[in-house]
Amino acid sequence: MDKFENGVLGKGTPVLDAALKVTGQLNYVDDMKLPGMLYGKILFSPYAHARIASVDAAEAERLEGVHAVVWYEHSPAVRYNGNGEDSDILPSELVFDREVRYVGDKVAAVAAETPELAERALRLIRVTYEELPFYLDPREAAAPDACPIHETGNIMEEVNLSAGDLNAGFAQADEIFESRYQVPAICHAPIEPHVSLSVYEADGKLTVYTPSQDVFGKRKNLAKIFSLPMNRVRVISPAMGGGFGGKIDLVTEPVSALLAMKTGRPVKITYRRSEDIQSATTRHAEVITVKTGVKKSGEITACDYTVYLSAGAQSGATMSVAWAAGGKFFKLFKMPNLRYHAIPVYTNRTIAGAMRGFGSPQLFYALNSQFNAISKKLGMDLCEFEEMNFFAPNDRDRRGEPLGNLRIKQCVRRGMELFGWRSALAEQEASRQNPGRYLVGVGMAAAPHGSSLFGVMPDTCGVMLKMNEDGSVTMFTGVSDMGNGSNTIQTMLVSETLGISADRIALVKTDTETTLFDVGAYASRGTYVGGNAAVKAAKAMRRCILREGAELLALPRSELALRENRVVSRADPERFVTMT
Amino acid sequence: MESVTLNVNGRDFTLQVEKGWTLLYVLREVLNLTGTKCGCSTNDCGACRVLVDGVAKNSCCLLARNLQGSRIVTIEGIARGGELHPIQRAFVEAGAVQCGFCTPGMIISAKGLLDQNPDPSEEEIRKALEHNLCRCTGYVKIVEAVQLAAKWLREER
Repeated sequence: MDKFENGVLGKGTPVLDAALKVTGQLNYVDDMKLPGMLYGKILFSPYAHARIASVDAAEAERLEGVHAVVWYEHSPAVRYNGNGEDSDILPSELVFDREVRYVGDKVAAVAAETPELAERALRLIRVTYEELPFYLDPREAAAPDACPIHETGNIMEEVNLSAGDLNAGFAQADEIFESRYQVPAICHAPIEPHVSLSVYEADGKLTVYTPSQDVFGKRKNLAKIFSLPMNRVRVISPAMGGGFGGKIDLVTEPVSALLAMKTGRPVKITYRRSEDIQSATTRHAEVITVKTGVKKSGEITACDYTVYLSAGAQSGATMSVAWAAGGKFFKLFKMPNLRYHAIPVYTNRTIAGAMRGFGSPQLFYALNSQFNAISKKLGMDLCEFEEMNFFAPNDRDRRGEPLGNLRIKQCVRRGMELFGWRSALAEQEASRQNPGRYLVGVGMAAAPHGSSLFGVMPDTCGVMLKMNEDGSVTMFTGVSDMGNGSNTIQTMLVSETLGISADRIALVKTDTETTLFDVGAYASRGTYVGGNAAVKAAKAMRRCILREGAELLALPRSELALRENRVVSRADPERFVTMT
Repeated sequence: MESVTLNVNGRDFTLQVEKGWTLLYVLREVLNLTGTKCGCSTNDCGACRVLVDGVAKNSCCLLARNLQGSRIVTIEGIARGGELHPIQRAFVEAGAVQCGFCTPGMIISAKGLLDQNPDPSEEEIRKALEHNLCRCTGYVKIVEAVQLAAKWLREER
């Protein structure tokens, strides 16, 4: 265990750039203007599913101040999956396609000298469509005779995970419950809408400024789409006004990049709120069926879980969401016989992407809702019912995976105490007996969540530290901070480890050209992985500083401490060398 | 185009504006005061709030040509010289700032309130902030920041 002696950790610290934020001086991407910059606007499909018969942009192109109009004829032919983590899985999307797959799908785009001109030009583009059948419900889209939304068919890859013997489990049950749950698509709704600013220089280099949770994933995809080597694509996220998973996937970036390449001018596309809701990404809408067998004692004998995921118009993060939720299905309740069956389906809706929890909220909403109903039917307290079925610390799940020090029982007990569970239940009952203007309701739900992608894929993050001639430090980090303080925590850890005050540590961040690879802001990994990478870099630097300090002070390293921007003798604080 | 004179952060600007230009557009695109943010342009989120003659209003839904002679204060006009205003300091101190995109609008609403009511109740603070959406914080720290700022400002008097 590390000793922390500099007092940086363990107390509240404002986010690093708070002073810039409260004065309005932090430049978000929409605050940027570059010389010669054009404004991009996208024409969106009014149809849920259609083939584009013709595009006539002659009138729009003739408008003075319009520099480019692009549609499927100008689109690179490379299909991509806009989610960085899943970029190699079922690439389905084109920058502009001949077929549009949801209301809000991109049809064409304009770059013009002002936003108003770009809007006017959009209205002059004549598009004719041939409508196709469309599906908003994944069960309808999954029907064998449904019109294909993509050539590969509407069902992506089904996920089947199971353990034990389901039939035997249901045979042991005293009662079997079957319920259906539907959860809607949800918009991430950060207060900063999606925006990107692309620059294509004459030497063939594309630079894209975008508030992004995954600059490296976006670089990989943009390099693929435009057939550029990675060293000719630079993605920079200067600031992010909230993300919540919605700023992982590509949204406006391929379009602003195409327009910048076509015009040779910087092009900025800023979504208005309605566009952000309609044409960015959402949490997955799902239709879930849960069948659970229980004994009278409350012990669960079998659970059969089937979910239709509405992927929306493109592949995106859908497969990872289906797999991730499947893994978590096994990790909380010690149900001996169980099956997770996910059917991810393309639908004619906004693309579903990553959003906080990656499928878990839907899964555990359904399970906990049903368990609430079951416990009532059995005359048991919900907390007791779930506790009886939770795994204990150091158990293995039914597929043999170690669960580590799983403390869910303690969490629920502590929650009951803090919540005043028993008296709340009494209050609920009293309110039912004497209903007034408002009824009182009480609920509980348990769910597990992981930190980092380790176990699923290699989870890497590189942090570089440079000490400048004056002893100040520059940290180069690819960790995306969407306002949650990931970079602040990295700075605190470096400050603590080096004894260098935070005001003497500066950041270069989320720039694919100057910072080392980071997986992106997925899987609650910022503090755990990004923080540890910062600590490792700082420890390497600490060794160098101690070596120099030992030589200058003629003391053994073990007798030295790093504090207050100095290397100090532990025995005699008056004996020191400065790092300033 | 028509001519309009606005006083922005204590300085007069005589500007040629198009009929449909909003105050937000003029601030961000003409005067390059980008501290005022656009979160919706439909009068819903409050990221674009500015003080118009001392009252906090959403600048996305005000037409610049209707504001002849108005005194506008934006987030850039809140600090006192090089020092943070106590409201700004309180937002930093209380941990009320996360992504920061709603923050300028929040601070403007707080300023509009505290200029009129130096000792507001929590309910009055929440009422004054009801036009401002924040997606990161859950509002608790923001309300605490306004309470802290009110305390500091009262102590200054």
